This record gives sequence, C-alpha cells and structure tokens, in this order.
Amino acid sequence: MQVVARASASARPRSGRVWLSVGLFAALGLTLGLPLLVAAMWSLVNPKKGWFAPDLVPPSVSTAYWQSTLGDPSILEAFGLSLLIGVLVTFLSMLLALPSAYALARIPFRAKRLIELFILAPLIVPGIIIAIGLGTLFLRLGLAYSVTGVVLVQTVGTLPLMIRILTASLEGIPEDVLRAARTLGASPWQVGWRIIVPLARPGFMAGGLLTFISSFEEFDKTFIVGSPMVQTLTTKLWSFLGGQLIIFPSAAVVTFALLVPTLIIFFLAARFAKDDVMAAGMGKL
Amino acid sequence: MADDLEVRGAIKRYGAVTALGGVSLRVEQGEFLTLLGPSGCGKSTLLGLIAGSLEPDAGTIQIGGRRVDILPSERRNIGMVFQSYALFPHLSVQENVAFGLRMRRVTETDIKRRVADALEMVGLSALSSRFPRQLSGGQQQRVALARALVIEPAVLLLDEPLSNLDARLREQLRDELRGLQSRLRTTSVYVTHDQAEALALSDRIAVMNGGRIIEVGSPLELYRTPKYRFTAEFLGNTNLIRAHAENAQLHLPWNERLPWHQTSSRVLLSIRPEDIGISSDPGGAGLIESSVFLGAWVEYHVRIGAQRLRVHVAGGGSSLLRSGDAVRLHLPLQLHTVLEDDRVQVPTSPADRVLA
Repeated sequence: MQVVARASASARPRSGRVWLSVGLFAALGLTLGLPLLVAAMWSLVNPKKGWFAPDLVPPSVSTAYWQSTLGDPSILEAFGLSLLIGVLVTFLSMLLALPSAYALARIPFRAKRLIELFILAPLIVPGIIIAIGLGTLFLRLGLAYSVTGVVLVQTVGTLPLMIRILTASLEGIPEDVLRAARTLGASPWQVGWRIIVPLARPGFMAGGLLTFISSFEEFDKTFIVGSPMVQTLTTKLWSFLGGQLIIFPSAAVVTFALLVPTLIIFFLAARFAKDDVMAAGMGKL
Repeated sequence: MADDLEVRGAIKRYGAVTALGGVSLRVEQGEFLTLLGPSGCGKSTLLGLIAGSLEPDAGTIQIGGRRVDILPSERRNIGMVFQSYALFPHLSVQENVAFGLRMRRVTETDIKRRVADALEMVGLSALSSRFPRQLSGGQQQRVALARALVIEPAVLLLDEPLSNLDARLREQLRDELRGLQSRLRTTSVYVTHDQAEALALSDRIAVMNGGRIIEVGSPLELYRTPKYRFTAEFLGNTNLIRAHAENAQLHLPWNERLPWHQTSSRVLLSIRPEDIGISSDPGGAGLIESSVFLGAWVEYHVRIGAQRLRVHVAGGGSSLLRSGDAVRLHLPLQLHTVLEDDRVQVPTSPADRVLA
C-alpha cells in the first residue's frame, strides 16, 4: 500500500513535466520550426518549375537560388558589414552603459525611478520614429549613409537593454566585497577593473549577446539612416522582398544567412553560461 | 606592523539620527579590543569610520600617531574581516589572499611565499587553488582572515566575523582566532553582540549603547564590577535589586537588613545569578517558582518578598529543589552596586542595519 502510494505520488509530477516539455517543444516547433521549414522549401525551389498554390511542397528541388544568392558578392559584403556593425554596436553599448548602470545600481540618488524610466523610454518608442527623427539630424551632421551613423543610431536602440542588464548584474555585487577590496589597498579604479568588471561578466555576456543579435537583425533604423549606401544583411533582405517583384527564394536564403550567427551565438551563450556559475557563486554570500 | 589606534570625539549622523554621539577610544599596540553592544548601538558605524567606508561628521582617527580619517580606505593599512566573508568569488583562495599584496606591488616570489605562509597559518594550504564557493563558511572565513593578515595591517578590524557560523564552528574558530592573536599581537578591533565572544577574546571590552561607549574595561572588570546597569545587564545575566540605606544598614526589598557603609541612600545592587547560594529550608523566605535545567547548571526562579531573583546552581547536587519548595538565599559578602545611566536611550538609528 505504502509503496504504491509513494509510486503514484512521484509519478504524477513526472508526467506533468513530460506534458510541459511536449507543450514547450510544440510551441517552439510552431514558432521557429515551421517558418524555417517553409523558408527552407522556398530556398530550394527550382527556378524553372516554380512553386504554386495547391502544392504543399515544391514540385522540383534545386540549389540554384542558394548558388546565385551566395555567389552574389554583395551578399557576402553585407554579411561582413552586419558583423562589423554588430561588434561595434556591442562594444559601444557596453562602454556607454557601464557608467549609467553603475550609478543606477550602486549610488543612491533622488528621482532614481524617474531616471530609470527615462533610460528605458527608447524601448517603448518605435524604432521607425527614432530613425526618422535622428535620420534628419544625421543628414545635417553628415552622419547619414555612413557606417558611423548606422552604428550610432543602432546604439540608441540597444543602450536601454544593456543598461538594464548591467544594472541588474552590478546590483548583485555585495557592498562588503567592494569594501574588502578597498581596505586591501585597491583604489576605486582598481576595484572597478579587478572586481566589478569580472563580477559583472555575466551581465556583459548576456547584454553583449542580446545587443549583437538585435544589431544584426535591426532593420528600420539601419534602413533609414544607412540605405542605400550602407547595406547590411537585413536591408539586403528587404531589397529582395520590397522591389518590383518579390524574390521569395533569394529572401529565404538570406534568412538562413541571418539565422546562422544568431544560432552560433546562442550555442556560445549556453557554454559561457556554465562558466558563469562561478560568478553566480557570489549568490551564496 | 601593529600600531596603536586612537579615536577622538567621533560623531556620525544620518539626517536627524545620531548614530555615533562623540566617541573617544584608545586601542593600545597589540591589544585586542571588542566593541560590544546591541544592534543599532553604533559599533558597526564606529568600525566603518575606522575602516574608511564612512566619513565622520566630526572627530579624528589616528593610527600609529598618523591621522587617517582624511585618507581613503586603501591608504590606511588596515585589514578587515566581514560577517559575510566578502571573498572575491571570481578569484581562487590563493588569489584572494594575494590581492592585497598585488595592490602593494610586492614581487611575485614574495607574494608566493607570503600567501603560502598565510594559508598555512589558517590551516588551508591544501585548498589554495579552490574557489570560495567550494568552501564551507568556516573555511571561507579563514581565507578572509588570511587575506586580511597577509598584508601585515597596522590594525585588524573584525565585523561580527563569527555570526554566520553555526554554534560549534563558531567556538572552534573563536579559539583559533585567540591562538592567532596571542601569536601575532596585531592591534585588533572586534565588533560583536555576542558577550561570550567578547569575554573569550578580548583584552578589553568597550560596551556601547545608543551611539555612545558606556564603559571600557577588561572582561573580568566589566563582568565582576560593572559601573553601569547597562553593562551588568548586557554582559551576562544579573539580578538588579533596588534597596535603600539607612543608619549604616541596607534594607533589601524583603525583610532583610545588611550592614552598610556607603553614604548614598538609594542603591541599585547587581548580583550575578551564580553568586547567590541557595539551600532548602522549610522556614526560608524564598519560594522556588520554577526551575530550568540547562545542562551545566540549573536556573531557579525564586520569589522573595516582592522580588524575583534568578539563581544558578552548578554541579552535582543541583537538581534537588522543586517548584514550590521554600528556600533560604545566601547573598555574597561583597555586594556590588551599579549606576543607572540616564544618557542611554533606546537607539532609533538604522545605522547598524545599513552596515550589516
């Protein structure tokens, strides 16, 4: 009797967990897998046969669009530029976010909540509005149609999230640890470099990855400030979709090109997250 | 390396709240002094001022005759040990201990030797490449101690270092701390609210309450002959008895008179529970209300007249008396009187919580 009771008691949460994971995987499949599957089929359409309404799969498969799209040197160029801009935006965001995040996390001052709200405000404003506003300004400043301009306008969009994540990460550092470093002879700058920055590493990692991805996939601000001189992968994708005729297959190939760095980054993030258990050790304090 | 420490007229206010109301204190070279008091008494604030993590509103602090209250924390040459251990979680044990030496630009070979020595001193040589999260609380605090001592500080500050440990470990580490202190003779200021720690470790204790130092003395002096009521009550248990003196006689609140020679008419006696003798006597004036067996001793609550007294009896024959028994009490020959301290008020300051 007892044994049976115990077995059923432990079986129930386990089956609940099974259904939860089934549900989560189904949601993942619907939101990520299905669109990718459709995109994969589009990219493999045979240009000579096409793919029309009643058919659920393309009647004939070919790698012609992959060859022509990846063979286009401008795609490779756009890919490189997207990477470059992503890296620049990430580092610029980190650099600019650190002082604000430090102040928000560790220095008590008046109207802190209000300032926090102001910092997060750009997240609420649609990118297109920021882009139009800054676009005209950049035009006058001579920053429009330049990589610098695109980096700057993207940073406006990524900064709030970076500040938010770094703030949370800096808040987690116990005051005693910083006081200990000071009594041991570290100047405020040395405390910053040797204690705060390493301990905020999970925040830098998380914020950096999210910033890079959102820069890599950013469209409206990049398009308005940079296009057509600065062609990133996303604006290139637009040129396949928004021209006089929509080239679905080429766009599908570019979609995959856009996806690759994102996936790589998520795998990297999963690996780094393990290392960062170390930094999470301070949660024990 | 060890220096004397002198605090003069230190005042610290938080808005309208005075956390520290003009404290002066001298710690001799090599002395171990404990700041003892309830939470909110200002002891952590005083330690913060000495460490340089807080700035005094008034007063000076000198270490080895040199004024340090104008210097930043990192230039005061102090070692500090925290209740929370405050180890650097991203550095190994070895690198934690080496941190202060690196800041002082000690050469790599010297760092190696001194870190090894310090870790051996606290018995953690085998764990030098571990990370703080892989250590127990007791081990972490030993690393923190090694880290603070390896820089050979002028003054060592300890902020409730044993409070996060469980009882047995706390006693063990307390004994280790005493052993280290008797060997190294580092000038130390130790903050605690635990009177047993204060008694066991200190050369002298400064009892604090309401942002002031009530009195300073050796553990024996403060326990046996406290000047103020607060000290008597905070350091151990005591029975406070109001009595009045008349014609060279002391009238106790029950029908007992004792020869008395002091002049003041109203006196407050402080008698430790273990100093009162107790014997079973059917005609005795005392009545046992309850008894608590505490292992090493038995605590009796005795009513005599309008007074309730606590009596501790240690040793073998201690479990003879029961509730309702009539007893005779034997007061010690030397009666000790304490003063009411009017200056002491219940602290309203959140200072200690801010620092904790």
